[in-house]
Amino acid sequence: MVTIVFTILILLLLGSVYLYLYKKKRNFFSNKNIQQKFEEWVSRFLLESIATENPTLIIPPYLKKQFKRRAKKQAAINILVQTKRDLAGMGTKGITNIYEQLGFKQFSINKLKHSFWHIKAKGIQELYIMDQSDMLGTMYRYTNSSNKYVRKEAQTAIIHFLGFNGLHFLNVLSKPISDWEQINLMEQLKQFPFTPIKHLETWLQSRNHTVVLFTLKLIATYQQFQTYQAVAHCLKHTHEKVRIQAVKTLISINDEGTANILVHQYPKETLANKINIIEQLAFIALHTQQQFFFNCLQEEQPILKLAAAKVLEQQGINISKLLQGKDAAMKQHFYTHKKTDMPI
Amino acid sequence: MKWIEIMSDILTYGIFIYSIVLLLFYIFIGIYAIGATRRYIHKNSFANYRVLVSSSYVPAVSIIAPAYNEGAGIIANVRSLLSTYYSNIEVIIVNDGSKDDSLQKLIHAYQLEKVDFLVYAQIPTKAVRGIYKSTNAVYKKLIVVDKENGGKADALNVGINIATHDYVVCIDVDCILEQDAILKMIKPFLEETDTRVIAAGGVVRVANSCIVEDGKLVKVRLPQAYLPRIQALEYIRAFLLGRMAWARLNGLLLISGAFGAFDKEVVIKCGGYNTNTVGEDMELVVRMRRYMEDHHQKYKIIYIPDPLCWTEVPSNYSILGRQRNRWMRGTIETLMAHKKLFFNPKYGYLGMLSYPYWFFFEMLAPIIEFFGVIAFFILTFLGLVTWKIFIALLLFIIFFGYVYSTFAILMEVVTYNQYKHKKDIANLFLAMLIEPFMFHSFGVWCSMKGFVDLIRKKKEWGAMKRQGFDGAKH
Repeated sequence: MVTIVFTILILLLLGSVYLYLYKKKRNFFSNKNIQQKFEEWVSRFLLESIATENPTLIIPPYLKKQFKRRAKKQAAINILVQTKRDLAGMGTKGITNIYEQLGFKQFSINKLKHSFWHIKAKGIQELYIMDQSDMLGTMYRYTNSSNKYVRKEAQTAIIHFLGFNGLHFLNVLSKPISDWEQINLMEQLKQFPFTPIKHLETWLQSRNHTVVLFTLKLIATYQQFQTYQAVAHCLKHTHEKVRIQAVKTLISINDEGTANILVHQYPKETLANKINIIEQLAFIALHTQQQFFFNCLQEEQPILKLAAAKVLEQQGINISKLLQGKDAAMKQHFYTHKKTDMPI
Repeated sequence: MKWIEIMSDILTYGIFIYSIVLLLFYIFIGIYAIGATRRYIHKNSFANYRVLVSSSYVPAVSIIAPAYNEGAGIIANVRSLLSTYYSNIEVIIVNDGSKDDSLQKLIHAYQLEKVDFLVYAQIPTKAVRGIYKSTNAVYKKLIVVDKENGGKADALNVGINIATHDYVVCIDVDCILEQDAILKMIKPFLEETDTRVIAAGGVVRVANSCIVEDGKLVKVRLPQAYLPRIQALEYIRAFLLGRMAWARLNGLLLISGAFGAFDKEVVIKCGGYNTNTVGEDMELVVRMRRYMEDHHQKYKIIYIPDPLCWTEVPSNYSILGRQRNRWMRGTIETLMAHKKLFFNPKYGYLGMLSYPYWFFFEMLAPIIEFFGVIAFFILTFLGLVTWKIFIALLLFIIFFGYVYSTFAILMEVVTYNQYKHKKDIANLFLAMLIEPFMFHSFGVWCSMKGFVDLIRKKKEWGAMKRQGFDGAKH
């Protein structure tokens, strides 16, 4: 009896495999044909839109008819999104035009209103890539969404439309911005000419430590020297990650007092940030800080000795010899070699 | 005769209950994996990896590939690693005292020269003989380390000591990576905000019969020989169902040694790979988890269902036997080294679910099965077998296996559908029908041998002799 049930189950599963493959194949050939025609038509229209200022958009009826079906509509939107990402300049307006004329906008809006997070996020993405700025208000509401993927797309959308001014969502952001989101936002900002960022110092005092972290990265990238004191204040932050970034940011907007601030910060720090301070100081250290690095050679942690030794070596001091000579036990902790030691 | 009947009953009902629990686990894993894979596919449907490819903000990654007597394909393999889509990487090839001309080939092909170095060896290892870098700026990402032979774990530890970046990706040098593999592996580390991702694993697929050119996979084909083909199905079952479900539960105990990404700081704090076990990949993951639990830190181990890494699997019984023998020894060594976890509520899922599952159903399963067969012969000899029930149960278990494998095939087709030739699915299905009688039985036998070898304190790693890929051009 059980064997019969299992056999039926196997046959059902196997049937599902072949049915799925059959449908996939059928859709592939059917979509391929339409997609090819659509791509050709989009290309023709884009070329025309470059040649003439206001090209007439006449959508072939066979395409219009095809796009009544949900799957084909989505496939066409994907093509437009991909083309828009690949292109820059005049042509992109033509793509937006096609998107609107084919009624795809409503399709994306429906997705934006959907309760499933991945559909909502996809809807937001389509709308901002297609420059639907009238949806800005609706999308803004999702910048503090509890779903990180929806939140990320909404924040990217705001930056897409408003550039540096879009960063205002940081004023009220209570949810964390992951490193992945931060990279995406930084890359999005790269597309805009720099405009002064207000509220940087307010964001540095945010209760949301990821907002502080992101602001520190912004300050370092866009060299916001006026925030120097506020950045230095971040060295007192409770989050180690924030303090590590604060050190990096201070180095990138350094002045003559930076080295001393970091040297004073060093004894209060965790191991990770001690290493960070030594490595970062190497970028700005003068001979006046050399004693600090020599002092680091007396640290108990070999990794701190190594970090300091590397900086001193950069300053022309043969420190590997000094290290091993002073402390024979250290030798076993290091791989040390001179290329002349053992020729092949 | 009564005691024999009592023993027979205990054995019968014991194995019956054991089997029921095992089957329930399989059903749970199958169903639970669907959600994990679906969520991954959903979130990647709008992820733009292009941002990461060129971004200067992405974290730097060190790829570590140990090599021992890999002279035949090392140049192409290194070229393949260097051409990975990721802007901020260093590729560390650790020549583990190869007896062939691997190092000379690398020196010649990549214009390497020995450099001065001062590296803090945070994990104790065998001596390093030299570190090489290229004089050609094109290969500036490449670091070649020459060291005394100490085994794979020792070579990986040297790589970890030398790695300058926060994330390390440990791979087998002869594995073929998809070009976006590193991007996809690093993304999970960047996505979490309140939980530390300590490791990420990627799906490993079978590369036998695939067409490889210049260290790159050009065409995916289902293995033509039976053994690699059935391993292709086994890998689909293990990676697409098992590991995805365990990852969703945050209960993974194993990331394949062929391809895994790790948070270097945690690896170092844990002391790196254990050089005294043949199951160093599993042992490291268990130790990292244990470390995080002991320090009350929130952590995650992620698994990625995308086919990111392709490897050649054994195509003859001799090599396969050595591999399975080693896997069994590695599993036992790891579980014994961390026996403190066994049903220890202090370790949460790790102690109460993952460890016991591995103990009972990965480590003990072949042993129970082996002794079950012996008991069957004894009971047959004593005339105590009720043939009707025996045949019904045998058919039940075989057909359950078929259902599970067919479900794995369905998952593969619906998700990544790598085998596109019209006969591929039928061939996989046919291979599956023979599996319980040949491949599975052989696996049980090899695992038993592994168990015996462990008792005899045999420490051999069991070399894997590669056949090479179809159409491989170097």
